[in-house]
Amino acid sequence: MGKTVVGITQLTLAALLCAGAAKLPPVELPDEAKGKFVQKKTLRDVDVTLTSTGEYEFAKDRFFTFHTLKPVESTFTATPTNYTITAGGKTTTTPISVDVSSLEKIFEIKEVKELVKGIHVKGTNFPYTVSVEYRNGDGLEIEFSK
Amino acid sequence: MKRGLIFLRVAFASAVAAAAVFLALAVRRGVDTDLMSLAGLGRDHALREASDAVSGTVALIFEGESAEDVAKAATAAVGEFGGMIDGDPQEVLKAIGEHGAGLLSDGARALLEAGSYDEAMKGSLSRLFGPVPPVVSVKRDPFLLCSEYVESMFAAQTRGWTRSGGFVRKSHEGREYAMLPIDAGKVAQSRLLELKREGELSASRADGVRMFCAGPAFHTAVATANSKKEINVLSAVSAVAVLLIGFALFRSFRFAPVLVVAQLSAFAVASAALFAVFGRPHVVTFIFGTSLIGLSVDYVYHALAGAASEGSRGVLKPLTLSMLTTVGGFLPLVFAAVPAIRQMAVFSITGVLSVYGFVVLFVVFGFARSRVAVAAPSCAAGCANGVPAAARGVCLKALLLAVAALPAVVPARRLFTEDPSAFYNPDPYLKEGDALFVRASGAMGGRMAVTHGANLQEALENEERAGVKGVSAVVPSLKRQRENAALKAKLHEAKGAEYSAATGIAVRKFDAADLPADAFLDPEKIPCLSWMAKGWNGRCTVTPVPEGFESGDPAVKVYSVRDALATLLAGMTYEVMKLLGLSVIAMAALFAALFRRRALSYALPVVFGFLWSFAALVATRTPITLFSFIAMFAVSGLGVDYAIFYRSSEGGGKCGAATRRTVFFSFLTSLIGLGALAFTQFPVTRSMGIAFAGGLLGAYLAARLPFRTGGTPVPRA
Repeated sequence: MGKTVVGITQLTLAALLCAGAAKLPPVELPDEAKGKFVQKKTLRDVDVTLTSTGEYEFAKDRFFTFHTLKPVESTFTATPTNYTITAGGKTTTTPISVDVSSLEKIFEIKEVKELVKGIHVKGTNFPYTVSVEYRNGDGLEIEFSK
Repeated sequence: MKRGLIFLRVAFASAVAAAAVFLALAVRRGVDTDLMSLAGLGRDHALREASDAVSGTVALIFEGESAEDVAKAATAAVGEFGGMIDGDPQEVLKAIGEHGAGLLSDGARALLEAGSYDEAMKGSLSRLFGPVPPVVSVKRDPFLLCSEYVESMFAAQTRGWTRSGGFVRKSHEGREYAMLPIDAGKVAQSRLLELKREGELSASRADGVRMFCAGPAFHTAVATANSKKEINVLSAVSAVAVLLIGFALFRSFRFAPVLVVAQLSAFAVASAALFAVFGRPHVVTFIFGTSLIGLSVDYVYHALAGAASEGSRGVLKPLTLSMLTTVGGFLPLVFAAVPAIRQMAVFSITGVLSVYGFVVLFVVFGFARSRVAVAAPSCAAGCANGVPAAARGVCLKALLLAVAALPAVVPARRLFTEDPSAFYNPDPYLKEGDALFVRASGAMGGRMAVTHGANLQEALENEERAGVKGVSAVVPSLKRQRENAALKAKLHEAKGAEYSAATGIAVRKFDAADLPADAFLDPEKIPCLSWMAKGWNGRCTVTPVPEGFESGDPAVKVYSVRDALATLLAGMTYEVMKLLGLSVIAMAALFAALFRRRALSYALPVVFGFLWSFAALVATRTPITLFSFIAMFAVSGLGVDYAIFYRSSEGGGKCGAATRRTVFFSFLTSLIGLGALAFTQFPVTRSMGIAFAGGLLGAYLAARLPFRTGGTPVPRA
């Protein structure tokens, strides 16, 4: 009898959790995507918001390239084993593991714990906006479109 | 006379008791188990530093097909041992921001040195408008030079691996690897052994992830455990052999208490002497010494048998002569440069002196002799077996010469080696782990740059001057930071206004000359950044360098640890051979002075002892190292003993037969005790055991060669 009650309770909890999960917007992003982006970077210390635009290319679990075109050209590429920044004709590689399984995961920096306070996603399909809130008050908002 | 004897006995017993107390206190210091120190790297300080740096870290390496499974296994290890970043990363970044006025990546420094300010500013703007957040406040670091420095610092630290969740990882030839370096000092030896066992069992893990252990500390832990085991086994084998052989000789066990007290007192005195002279003696000395104490059996047997049959005066002379020649044989080793050899010499000499003191005071002039007597000689050893002496002599000579000629037939030259691998036979599992580490990490072939300095800052400056990418690649010297700050100031002056206009960020005037000392990063003064100076040991930094890297800087020494060790061992082998030569010359002079025409009969056991040692090593294809030569010192000492007692027995009669019988049983005991070393795992002691076995047999048989001029008494000692 006792076991049955526990079993029913577990099933009910599981059903409730599933129901909760079902209410969340489904993520319908493809495994490969490319398009344009608009980025707003807020630097709290100096109270400045910098806006830049460019093109991106994403291949799930392989790479993510962020090609900033305006106002200054640069390329940021993240792979599962590192990220590289090509700026001013110079490339710097940082050997840190990057999760490139989804567009928002890229912004989690697990190696430096608590650097990122939170990541928020708006939209279920393109345009798709990722907001990153950093512990020091800085912020990043990027709108991806096809 | 009686009072004098009592006084000497009391003095001896007090000395042994004092040695035992000292030993009980000193043993807490522990013994040295470092394999490199066996070869006495203390002679070469820089090599010692390089060796210590290599020994200080161990690594757990996880290998598998699935990156996820490998990461899971590594994460569990991080949970136990902690990750690679020490301290709170937020705190670290804050400290770098506050003290980062002079931090520049190599690339940024090159640009600013070249005066390429446009390019430098463009790089900063690109970063600023890119998606990567600045890790240091833009107010302090508007050009994001500190942020770029942090990224370059990560690359300098991981050398080709990727940081991931507290460990590093990489893909190599279709396999996934994760590695967690651990400070060896933080892990107990017992845990290292457990990790090795867990690693060996990982071959059957369901997820296919194997764990390998790499690093010298694992080898040390395994070697120590094996040595302890071998000491116990050898001691047990020796004890049983001594009891059985002693019973065969005396037909009773009454000799046993005398022998036990003699050996215990000798072990206490010899070990106390080792700790007193060397502080922390090497564990190998005890392996060698455990068997060497077995030599004391010779003295006890001869003292018991001789005192009972020949009287005190009759046995004292050959005993004293034997002690003097044994001590004389080991004496040159006291001056060896190799610590392990000095330790073996001190252990052997003090042990032999102690046994001699005991048997003289308590057996020769004591009570024990009346209770123990050699059993009636049988035909086992002392008799002629009905074979004519001349025929026996011819057969023996033929045998001695035939075996001695073996090294001339077999190409023994190839067996002489200074290759460090001949001194240590690594555990196969650990060897696999080390090989994997080298393969996966693309290790630099074992070349190390040892950079000295009176303090950390001087060492950093020396590294920077010589181009060594060591600790200074992570944290530049304060001098370099001040130079960097001056370069930054020029960038601020040249491009500050333009940068402000483009970004809206106010760029403050940056006056490098006015910066306070705490604007710069000194890891010795900032606790949360102390890990940056981890490679500094108070004397030098040790950095792996690529093949071909050389430096003419007097503060920097570049080593291939293996090559340097081989050169060092070659020098030591030459030194030991020289000492052996000196010992032989001294012994020959002593024989000539003491025995005149009969000197050859005393010298031959030593000569054949050497030749048969070589023959045994050659026949078993055992590499001949400096430790093989050390065994020959013991062989020469024992060979002389056999000759002395055999010659003293040539007076004939029952006494002579009893002495010959005692020599035979002593030889048998030593052969078993020392020859048992041939079955140890450690190549050094194994090679010594084989040399002992061959050498003792040769020496004993040569001592039995009949001489025409026999029968004269032993000369005065």
